[in-house]
Amino acid sequence: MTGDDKLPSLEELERSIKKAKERISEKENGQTNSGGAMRVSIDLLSGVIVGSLVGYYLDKWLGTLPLFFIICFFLGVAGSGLNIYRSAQRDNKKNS
Amino acid sequence: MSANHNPLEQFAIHYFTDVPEVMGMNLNFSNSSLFMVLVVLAVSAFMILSMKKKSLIPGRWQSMAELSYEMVANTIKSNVGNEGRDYFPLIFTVFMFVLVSNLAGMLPYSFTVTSHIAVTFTLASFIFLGVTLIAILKHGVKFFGFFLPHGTPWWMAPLMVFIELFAYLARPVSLSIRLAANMMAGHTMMKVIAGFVVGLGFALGWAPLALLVVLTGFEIFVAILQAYIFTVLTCVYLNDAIHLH
Repeated sequence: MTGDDKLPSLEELERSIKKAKERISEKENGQTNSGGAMRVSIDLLSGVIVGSLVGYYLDKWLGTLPLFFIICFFLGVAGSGLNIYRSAQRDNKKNS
Repeated sequence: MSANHNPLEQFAIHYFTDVPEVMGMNLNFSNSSLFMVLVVLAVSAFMILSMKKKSLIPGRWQSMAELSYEMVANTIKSNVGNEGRDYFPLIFTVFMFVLVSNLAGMLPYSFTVTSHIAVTFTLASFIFLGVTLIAILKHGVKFFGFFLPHGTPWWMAPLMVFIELFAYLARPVSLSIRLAANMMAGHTMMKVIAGFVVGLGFALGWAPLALLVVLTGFEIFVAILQAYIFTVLTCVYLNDAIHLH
């Protein structure tokens, strides 16, 4: 082989590194978000259900209807809001 | 001759045996059990028979089996990291079972196993209990520090613990309801519009028939997507258990 093979210039190296980085990030971006269309409604509903059930059975055990039921209902709503916030945060982290 | 077919009749359970109850448990073999057995046989046959040749350059079946393996492995790697590789058999089983049962429900005259909350809630609660157990065995008592996020002021701490606890308990419920509701809603809608096709007769029945074709394609997409979302969320909960935030 004739010895006229120039080493790749710094700009060419930078370009190929950037292309490789884009390829890697594109592969990771092929994931859909964790929920999609019915994410918010189903997460909200499940928080309400869990809160109501826990509150109701706690009340039946302690005999203090409806105090714990109301408290746990609102805690369940807050919990479902936290779940929705976390899954939205996760999707933003994946897409950015 | 208006035979009013109930669109929800497709979700009814029919038993094939008549065994008496054992300790309050109904042990009869139902159409749901039949389809679960068929799904497991189909997935096992697909993986075992496709990999029989073990050639270095894969043929068609072997490359499909390798593709499904690689897809789940990539999902685990991007959601859990390298420690998640120990849990690959669990995630692969969950993914293939949910995917093939969802798709098997698209075949005519079949039964959609995952459209029942009983099935999806059992699946989701076992995953939830397993992930919690993994977290407790790995981190011991520090697992309960998961419920107090970093940097909450001291006066908000008790409230935050309870809210985090409810958010954690809501996970299996939302996981199960999402899958069951998507499957049940899709199949009910297909049945209702199919009823329109028959009801409108030869002259006008073409319009709902075209809609039914589009809806069937959409339902196949939803079946695959919901299986994927179920698996991704399982990986996310596993990541929370292994890495504790």
